[in-house]
Amino acid sequence: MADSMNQVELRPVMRRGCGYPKPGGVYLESQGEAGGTLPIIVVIDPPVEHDHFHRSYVYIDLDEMLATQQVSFVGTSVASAEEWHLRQKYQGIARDVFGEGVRIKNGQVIRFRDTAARILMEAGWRPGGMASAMQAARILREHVEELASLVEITARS
Amino acid sequence: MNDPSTTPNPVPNQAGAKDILIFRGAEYWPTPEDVIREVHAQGLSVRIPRNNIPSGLVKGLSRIALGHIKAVMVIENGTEDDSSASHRGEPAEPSEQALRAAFEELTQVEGHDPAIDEILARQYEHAPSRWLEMPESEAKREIFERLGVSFKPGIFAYCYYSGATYYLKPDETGAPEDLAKKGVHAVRGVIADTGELLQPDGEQTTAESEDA
Repeated sequence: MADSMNQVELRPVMRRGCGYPKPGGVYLESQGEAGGTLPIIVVIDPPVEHDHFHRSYVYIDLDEMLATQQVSFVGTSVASAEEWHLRQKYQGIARDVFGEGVRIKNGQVIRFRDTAARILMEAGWRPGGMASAMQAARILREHVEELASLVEITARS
Repeated sequence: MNDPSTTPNPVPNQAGAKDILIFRGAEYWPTPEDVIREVHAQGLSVRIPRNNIPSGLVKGLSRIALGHIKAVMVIENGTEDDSSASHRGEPAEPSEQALRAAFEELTQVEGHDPAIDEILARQYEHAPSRWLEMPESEAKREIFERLGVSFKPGIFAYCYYSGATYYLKPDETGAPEDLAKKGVHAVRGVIADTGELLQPDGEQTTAESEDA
């Protein structure tokens, strides 16, 4: 996708663990492509112990680290991506209901979705428009006790 | 802070390119599996200081190793089987099986947290994350204490470097000259869900990842 005025690439971005990219910021990237030849991520098993926590980046001799640890490489799956996509969708609803600083617990995203859907159905809610979304949040807040066990307070609250 | 520019003679990898290591912070990615999920969904993106762009990185050849403060799990206390093995002169290797067995026991308790069943059944690429993601409870603390479970910093994955990107400010039409000379690619970020342009200090920008 390109900016028609000056041919700058338009990059659709989604929220990450640390938020959205910041204009004016420089980012190192690893972007997989459909049909590409590079794996999007290679998981190392077992992980290699590394005692020094670094801020920013440091150069390393990764070949040496891997050679001395006799690691194997775990194949990738789509399960993690599916979990991530679901979380992006329902995390916003959790925030609408409980406020900022609340996160759906790991492993509870699907249960959160199903519980919220049941509550809304039982209340006769119908989707459509901003007013409808606000109404949904209000209904869910009235049944907050049914969702409370599925969320947790995060360190950012 | 470990200044990468002071690292003596970074060694090129087998492909002749340099590799780097970055850590993902536990505040934003509570477990390594959280990082893996995000990378699967939308690739890796790591903010770096714009005045300290690494040299020697080659697209498709350099690797970005991913570290996390809880990447490595240590189980200090062996199981009974492990002890028996030790008595037989075989290596006693504390097993993750003991950890699974302990949490499976919890699922037999009436009224237990259903998240335990779900996490036991889920697929993990970073195996220790399963135990990190178990819901916090007195029972979890007891299991970790009994088996001597702890976590250490480590490298759990790597990605292949595919380029450096500069996100334009709304009034810019190209990357600053110094960055363009270094091959940094300029893009204009838009929120995928809404089509809004990224704002420098807008509501959607929640945190710096430079130090994460």
